[in-house]
Amino acid sequence: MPPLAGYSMTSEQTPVLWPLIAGDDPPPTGAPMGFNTLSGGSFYCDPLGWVNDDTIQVTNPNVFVFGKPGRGKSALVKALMLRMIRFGYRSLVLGDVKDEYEDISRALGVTPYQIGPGMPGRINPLDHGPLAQDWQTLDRAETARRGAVLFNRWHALIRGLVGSQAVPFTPTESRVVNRVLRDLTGWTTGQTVLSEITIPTVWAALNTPTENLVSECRYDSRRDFLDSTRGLRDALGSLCEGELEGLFDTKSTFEPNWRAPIQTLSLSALHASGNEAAVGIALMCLNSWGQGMREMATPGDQRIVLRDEAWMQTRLGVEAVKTLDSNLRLSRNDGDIQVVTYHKPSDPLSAGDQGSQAAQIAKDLLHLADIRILMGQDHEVAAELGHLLGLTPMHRDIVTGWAMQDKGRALWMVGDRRYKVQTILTPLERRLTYTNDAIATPAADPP
Amino acid sequence: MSTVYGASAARDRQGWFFGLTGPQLFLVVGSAIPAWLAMAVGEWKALFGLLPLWGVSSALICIPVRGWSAAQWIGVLVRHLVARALGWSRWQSRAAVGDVDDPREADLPGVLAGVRIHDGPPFSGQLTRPALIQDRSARTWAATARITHPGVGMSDTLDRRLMGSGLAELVEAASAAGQISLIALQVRTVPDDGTRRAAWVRQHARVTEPELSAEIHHQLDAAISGAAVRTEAFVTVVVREDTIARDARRAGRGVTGRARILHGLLAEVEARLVGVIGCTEVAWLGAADLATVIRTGFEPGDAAALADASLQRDRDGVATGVATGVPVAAAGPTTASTSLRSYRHGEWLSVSTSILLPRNGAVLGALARALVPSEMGERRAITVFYRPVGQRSADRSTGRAEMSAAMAAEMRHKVGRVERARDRRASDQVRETDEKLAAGRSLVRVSSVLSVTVPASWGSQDYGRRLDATVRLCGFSPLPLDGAHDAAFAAATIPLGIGVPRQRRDR
Repeated sequence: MPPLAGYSMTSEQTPVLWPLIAGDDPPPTGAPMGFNTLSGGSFYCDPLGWVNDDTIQVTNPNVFVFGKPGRGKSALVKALMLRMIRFGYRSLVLGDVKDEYEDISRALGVTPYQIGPGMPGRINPLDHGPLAQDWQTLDRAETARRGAVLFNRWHALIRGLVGSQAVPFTPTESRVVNRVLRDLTGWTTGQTVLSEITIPTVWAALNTPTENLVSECRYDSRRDFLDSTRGLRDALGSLCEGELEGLFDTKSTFEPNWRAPIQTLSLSALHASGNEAAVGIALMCLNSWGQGMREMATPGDQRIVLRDEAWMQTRLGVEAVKTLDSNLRLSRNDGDIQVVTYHKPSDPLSAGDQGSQAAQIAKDLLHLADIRILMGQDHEVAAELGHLLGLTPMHRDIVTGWAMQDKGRALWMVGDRRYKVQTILTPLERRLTYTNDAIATPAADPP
Repeated sequence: MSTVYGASAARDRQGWFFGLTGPQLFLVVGSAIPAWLAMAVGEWKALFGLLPLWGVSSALICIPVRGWSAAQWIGVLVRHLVARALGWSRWQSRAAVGDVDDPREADLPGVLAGVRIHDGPPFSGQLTRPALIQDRSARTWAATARITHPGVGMSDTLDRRLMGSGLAELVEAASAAGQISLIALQVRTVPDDGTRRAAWVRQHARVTEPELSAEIHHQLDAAISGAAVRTEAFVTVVVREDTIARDARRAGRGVTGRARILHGLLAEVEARLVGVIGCTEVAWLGAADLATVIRTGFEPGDAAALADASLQRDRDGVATGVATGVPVAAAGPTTASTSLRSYRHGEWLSVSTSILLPRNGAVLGALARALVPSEMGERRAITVFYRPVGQRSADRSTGRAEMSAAMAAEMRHKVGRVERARDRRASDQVRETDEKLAAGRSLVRVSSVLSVTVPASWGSQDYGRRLDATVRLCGFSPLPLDGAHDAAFAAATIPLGIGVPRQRRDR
């Protein structure tokens, strides 16, 4: 027998030789992201797989990525998108504010769709999307179901758009908008085909109300109606003028190819104009439109939906936050992986004053994602991190210390588990993520 | 502030006479006989020659070198030479010569030779049938579970403290119940063979994948595969036959009776493991799973093929006839041979070391670096044995220790020797232990063994040195188990709860 060094000790001293040091990594499914530096194991990211795995405490596939600019936030998201293509995932970038996703889009042979002042592209946020397909053949129950989904989405968007301009959206306004939406689409009259509506048509219907609308909404007179909906009408009207004119006020010209591995909607031209509020409103419209487009996704049509720079949207106020909130809540039903990027955890809180309802909803929004990736942050935000996300001092040190030492390092919070992960980028991805040189087919030589 | 553990731990093999054990004292006194004879007959010249010789022989007997005294080393060397000359250090499996009578009978080398693995009855409320490990030579019964634990790397001080207290509670409960004689926690850090990943990719990859994606995955595979490691952890609960024999007779005799007694204990251990200790899963291994674990212990290279076959079975169902494991009879290595400084099993070499605790104790998780392989393809394994000491026995030994401490202090006082800080600390520790025992803690004997396994062509000594170096970096001292690498390997890498010497006073 070997002379094993044996010791006598009291029971509370036994952890001196604690052998369970390295933890278990998530199962090797999904996209390989790099290494778990604590266990030495490969780290794989599979949000939908984690939701389906009972051993992992993840109930939704929403992913929030926080990181100081330059810490590799977009490189990580791009790597996830590129690596998931092999497993049938397609990506939808709803609002590429800085054209960061243009390079990978072009590398995959897809031309990004650009929206901005003076550009031909149009998006109708009140697009029916696939829900209105074959409307005339649907039975009563199905039209009722689809109608409810459609009107709820539109209602949430209009509430967000109006609310973002500090105009109150009370149950009275809510009733008026609902009535108008149902009248314009032909729902009220039981039309066999739903008519297409846009924000200007809604605005026009409010501006020139029918007698029926006035009486249905229980106003004494047309004058009374016009007086009390002035704020609502002006808020909607401003979306058809100024910075956003010609962007979201006509039929959609963009018909996405859902079979392409990626679809990118670029807002860089609008962002270049310097109007952050306009970008926020545009993001809100795009998010609603994107949600509509995904409402009838077939099983197996899995998609990564990126909401980049979401702080621009949430900064618009409580209604904008609510819109994002409803988008995220639906993700599990849609089979989509919703990826939201922020600079720092306090970004969503800029939705309102400290302690306000907006700030509270935005704070709750952080808990709508069971997967949170925290890349490097400055010491200044350390306390904020700890407070908002319930980080222990050790986790805080990882984010402000270890993760700041190299790009791609992040604390992954997967359900109740924490991982210290170093993302690995291949040479090809480095070219696609750290430079703007797309590797698309080189330009043909001039004749 | 991290809690420091183990500062009051005392070495188990402490000599009772100025640090000398009984045999050592006997030999020292015996080797002085020629000098006494010379004195008796008045041969003073011879006495002057014999006295230095006595001093040299006493030094050889008393001064430990790498764990053993020189005299013991000579014994080990002689034993090895004899074993090698007579062929005892070589072993060949019965399967290798086509002499397997019963495929369910274990055929393992060295200290594991007395092991039999029985199919146990179903565990209450579950579909699993934990295998019963019978060690006929030590007269013990055991069961092993594969455990999943989140590790301590991301746990803060409070969580670590809680986990530590969970372990303490586990051994206290075992000590109070008096039936568990040993709990062994084993962790193996093995190269990730990528089998599960490859199977998942085969099922989920789309053939319509764009060229860009294929190229990225090709580059990723080259960068990541082979470099990653994974850990597997096991817990083994051992009970002595003489402790459970009477109850087992009432519970149904034979293997079933023992299993029924053992199942109650396993459920208790499982509850504590998933409780404060923080394990997320505890799966008691059946005979087939245990055979696979033993096989991959001896032959790490077989892990990929076995995992692949198992995945195939899970996917296609058992009806396909895919052989998914190894029979118990073929779980061991094909051949094994022991040399003084390493142990060869199949095409692999292992070197093992025991761990000496730092005098001032260590924090929980301090051993982290010792478990990280220094090179791709290397495997490291550690087993920590916790042997709960019965309360009566603990009381007795603490009483004895207090008595000796008091006597030593008195003697120092009588001869006028100043009491040093070290002496005071030792007697304080004894008193503290007594206080803790009175407050409900229990006494535990803890030992550990760490082993590194590399392909036979790599040159095991270099990896042995690296292992020792990392143990030192962790703040502990390595004690290479030269002369006993076969038993040490079995203790460190094969989760059967065997390989640690049993002492009479444990009872």
